Amino acid sequence: MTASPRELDETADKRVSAHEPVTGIDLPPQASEQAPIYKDLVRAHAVTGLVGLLVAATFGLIVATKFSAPEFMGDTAVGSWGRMRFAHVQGILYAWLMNGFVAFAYYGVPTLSGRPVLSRRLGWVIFYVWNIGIVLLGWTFVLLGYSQSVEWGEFPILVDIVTVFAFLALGAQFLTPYLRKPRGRLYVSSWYTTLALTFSPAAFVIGQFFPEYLTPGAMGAVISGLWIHDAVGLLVTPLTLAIAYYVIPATTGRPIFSHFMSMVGFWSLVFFYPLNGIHHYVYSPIPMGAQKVAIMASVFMGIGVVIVVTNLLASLRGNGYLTFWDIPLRFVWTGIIFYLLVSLQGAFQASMRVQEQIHFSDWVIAHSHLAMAGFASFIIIGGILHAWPKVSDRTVNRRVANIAYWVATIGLSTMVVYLTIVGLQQADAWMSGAPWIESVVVSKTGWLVRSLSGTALFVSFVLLIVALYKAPSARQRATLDDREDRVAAGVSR
Amino acid sequence: MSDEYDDTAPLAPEAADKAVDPVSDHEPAWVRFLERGETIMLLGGIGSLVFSFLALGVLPLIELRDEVTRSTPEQFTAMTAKEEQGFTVYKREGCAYCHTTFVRDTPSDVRRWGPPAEAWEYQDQYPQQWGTRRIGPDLSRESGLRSDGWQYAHLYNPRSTVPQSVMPGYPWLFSEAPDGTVVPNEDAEALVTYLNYLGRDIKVSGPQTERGKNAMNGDAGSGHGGM
Repeated sequence: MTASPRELDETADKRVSAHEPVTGIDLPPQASEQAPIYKDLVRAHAVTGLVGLLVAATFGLIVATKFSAPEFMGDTAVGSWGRMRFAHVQGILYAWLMNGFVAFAYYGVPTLSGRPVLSRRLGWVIFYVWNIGIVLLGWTFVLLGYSQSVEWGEFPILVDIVTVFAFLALGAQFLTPYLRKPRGRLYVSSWYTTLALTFSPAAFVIGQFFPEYLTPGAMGAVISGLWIHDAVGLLVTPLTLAIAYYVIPATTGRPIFSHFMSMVGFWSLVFFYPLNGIHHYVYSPIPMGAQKVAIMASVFMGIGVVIVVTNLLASLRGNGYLTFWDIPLRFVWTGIIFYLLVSLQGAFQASMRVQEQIHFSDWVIAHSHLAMAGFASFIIIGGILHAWPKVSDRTVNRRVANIAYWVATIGLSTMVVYLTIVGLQQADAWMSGAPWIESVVVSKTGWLVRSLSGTALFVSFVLLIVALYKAPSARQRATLDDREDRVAAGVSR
Repeated sequence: MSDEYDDTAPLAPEAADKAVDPVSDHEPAWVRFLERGETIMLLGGIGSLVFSFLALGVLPLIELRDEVTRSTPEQFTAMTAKEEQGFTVYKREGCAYCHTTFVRDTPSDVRRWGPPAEAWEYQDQYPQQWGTRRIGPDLSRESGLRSDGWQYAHLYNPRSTVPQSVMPGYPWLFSEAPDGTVVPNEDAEALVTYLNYLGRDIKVSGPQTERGKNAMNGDAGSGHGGM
């Protein structure tokens, strides 16, 4: 726990007030009695998400192991590479990331809007529908061979229908508080949540149903490309940034660095991310104009990300030392650094002459893991750890969480570095015109390192769950209670 | 608790203070407009979805539909029922996650696999299986390259034909005959039929588009400028 962020707030405000007005819009407001936080829903989604992460990571580890030992679990269809890969990708999205986002939304949305979410009962319906009707049902289907071979949409159509309704219910749950707010202005995190929950249901419907029934072949690839990037750019990214924009000022007690940069970053995401998708199919039969627009949008997206990251990191001005001892903040900070790296990498990799050589290689896999395991997962973990002491009767075990941080950071960095090296080796083998198998042979060491670094990530996830089970000391409990009295609400910072 | 929430109650003091911050109220009207939930939903959520779907969805779709109509050669054959079944197996086992089925019009791709992918080749594939990763080679020009026997042996145990391969075997596509030999089942036969369908038509007709013809003349990728 950081010692009394409110005190930091006051001293900091005095320090800068002469030349830097502290605007309310740039600082998350306090929770209030009018906007209760449903702590049980926060806990349920957070813990289910972390358990789902363990399962999805296990699928990933099995996939990775098969690169070094192709016969491993290879006798039955259920354990085969393709089906494990489906279960891995969909598990990360639906079992882990979305549960994490929803957990934090139940914590953040009432505070930010000053209104409760639509309904606690609806919340529990969504919880069960999501985790049984989508995650468990979807996993069962793809492992049994009933899947939809659309990348980032492998759960079958039946599960897709459930997902559409679940998305709409999430929209009703979390958009209602924002629309019912009678006056005042929305905080930055709220913009991102609102955007994601409005954009994604329709994008999901187009991405899942068009390639399956309406648009064959090259036309389907156009739509699939849009969906692959919309899932990442308009669902995962904004919901992740919503957490980052919340945790930093809530921890430091200082407002966001620049309201203008918040706006420019947000609206550049709105208009450039959705145009990125076709960069997955460059040099394909898709019309050249569309490919070039997608590549240019990728570069502009990179510029927007630089603005967002600058704004977030500058919001720590004068409080950077907090990242050393506030572990939730450190997870968020690291996630932001990964965001910068992964976005610059993406903008670079989208350009044609680079794609010509390295597209289809493991460097792209490095990119996707840096985005999902690095940027999104680190920030969600930071958000969950930040909220945990205020939504449960437990606290975060700092020592264990600290170890988890370092294991995850070193594990992921190793994975990304090695997959980058392997990707470049593969590209070199392909361009040289050597027999195809050469590109497989040169990859074998890197693939082994990936399995080991993936194991490290898995261990850090286990440690995180352990870290959540620490009972708070009497002193910590007293501090929390005291602050709860002060804000007369179920939450404080 | 929330279900009985009273909508007319005033905001908590803290929230109210923040909500009508005197400094931020001096910001221009357009800034305040862009911060409204309704603006973000309509302009951000729905507006950018419609814009991106029209610009990079509908427009390319129309262009592709015209190109398919224009360029489909008479040699084009739709998938037979058996090939369709093989396509289903191909999708179910996730083959597309290691094997692409589109040759790009880059020199290295064309040199390795032949004519670049053309939109008409894929006009009856729901959903498309182009793929985004190549662990194994592209398969879109697989037709006629290898014997059925090689394909079956490779599917049953890839290392029997390519010792260094990391491809998984698919023993559940095979069954054991009474005399102890391993024979392909219906799924394996359909899959190999599908593999032999991939690229069959374009190998007869040759490229039908300017882009494809240029690539085969050694100008692969030259029409793209230098992005």
